[in-house]
Amino acid sequence: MKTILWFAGFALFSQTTIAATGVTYSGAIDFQVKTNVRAIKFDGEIQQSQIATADKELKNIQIKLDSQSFKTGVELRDEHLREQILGNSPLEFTAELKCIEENCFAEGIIKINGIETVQKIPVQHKKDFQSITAEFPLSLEELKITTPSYLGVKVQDQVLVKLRLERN
Amino acid sequence: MKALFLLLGLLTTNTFAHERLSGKGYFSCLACHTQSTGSGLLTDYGKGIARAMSLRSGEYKEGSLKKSLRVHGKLDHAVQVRVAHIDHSRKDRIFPMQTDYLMAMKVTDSTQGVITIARADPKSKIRGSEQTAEELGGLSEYFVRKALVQTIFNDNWLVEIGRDELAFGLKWEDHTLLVRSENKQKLTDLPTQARLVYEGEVHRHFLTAFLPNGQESESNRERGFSTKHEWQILEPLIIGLSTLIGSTEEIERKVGALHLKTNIGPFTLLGQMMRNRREVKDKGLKFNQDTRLVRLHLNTLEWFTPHLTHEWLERERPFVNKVRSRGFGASLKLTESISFQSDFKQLITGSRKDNLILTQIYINLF
Repeated sequence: MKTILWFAGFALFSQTTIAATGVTYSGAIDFQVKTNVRAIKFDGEIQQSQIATADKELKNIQIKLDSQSFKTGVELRDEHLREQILGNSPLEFTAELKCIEENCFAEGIIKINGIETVQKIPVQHKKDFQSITAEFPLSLEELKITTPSYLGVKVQDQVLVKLRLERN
Repeated sequence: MKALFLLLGLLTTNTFAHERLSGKGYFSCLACHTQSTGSGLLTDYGKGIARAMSLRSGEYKEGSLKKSLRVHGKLDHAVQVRVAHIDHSRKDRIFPMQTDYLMAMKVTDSTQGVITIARADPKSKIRGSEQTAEELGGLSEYFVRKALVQTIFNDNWLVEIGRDELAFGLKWEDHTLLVRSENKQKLTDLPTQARLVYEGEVHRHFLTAFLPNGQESESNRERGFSTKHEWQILEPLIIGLSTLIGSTEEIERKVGALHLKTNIGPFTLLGQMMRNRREVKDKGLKFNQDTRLVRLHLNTLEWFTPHLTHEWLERERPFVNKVRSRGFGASLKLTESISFQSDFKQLITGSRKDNLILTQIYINLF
């Protein structure tokens, strides 16, 4: 019982610390996957309430996505996604938000299933990063991921990612 | 009697998956089926999806016997069997329905032949002929439902020539049977046709010229043209427009239909509005028939899908008729090969109400 209370207390403390030191974002992340068969393409979404955290100055942002939150509409497909791409650890993107005149981007490290690569993603924002949107192709090859295939249907290298974040 | 006719019409092919799956990224039927209008044989991937979305979900694997029967992927075949239980006005019946043998043979990488041979219950009307096997006599309980040659070229384009159903509107056969109730349409079910198909990422077009197949009753021999276009406007919203001009010896008809498929949360909504204008040639008589369909599926579970359906039919003078049908039911997919479908329907014609309960079991062996 004491252990449970200790964990609950720690979790509460962690949440309070994030809220006190930075801002949180919720919203939606969708991804579109094409395959070698033109008739087969599918969309997925992240079903997670809080998606990102950032520091008060909005210079650094961290996106952390539970691999269980990736949903494509077919459970077996979600399982394959975890087995062949995501693994069981969360997908993380830790980046610095930079703006050169009107052009803003998030540059940092994306970590999928223990493999890290550097990504530079153009972002759009409104009201001083009150809302952030981005749309970019993600290369599985660059992330050192072997493109999965299933019964003759092979996923294409480029996955289109659409991100919409709203500051809480 | 009228209700029983409509009911018998319900005994059609498996309606478990097709239109619903458009909400899961499968805009084209070719994702899972060997031909552009869907139904019939599944591709390997389609078999995988059928298994994945069944109660016994898991990986689809082809055994060595199946592999050898398929001659290294050159040949594919299946047997589909349906058994129905009907409860109409407290009189219930169990009877076997049509048994189909389906076969596809790859000639080259881009060309294949597809054939479906059906064996109908001798006492049921054979789809496409409007007569029972007994009425037709001889070996006519065996019937070619599909005989198509299909060639794919330029990735996006297909040509399909042979006997098949027309590509028109929502492929929901329960509703088609209501549209055709009392067979005032005098149309063919399985015409001989040449079909040009475009399959793009967000657009699909079907352009079809059709002729009688030669096995219909004389008054049902129709020739004409039809088109179907589907557009995926948004990720969860597809709209479609279909047109048809056809002519038999007795009747000329012009048909237009609008349909939509959309996903709202865990629900799939299907809707269709159709106007059917017909002219009885000898009498110069013209009249319209309007039909509408709304169907809502709940997709919380992949293997169990409850649904609600509402249909309307209104026909003008001199064949004035108003029919409403409302119902509910559910589909249960036990394995990739076995599924059940049970429907309750209430047909309302004027002040008369007929209740129908229909349970079907589908067995697909491939």
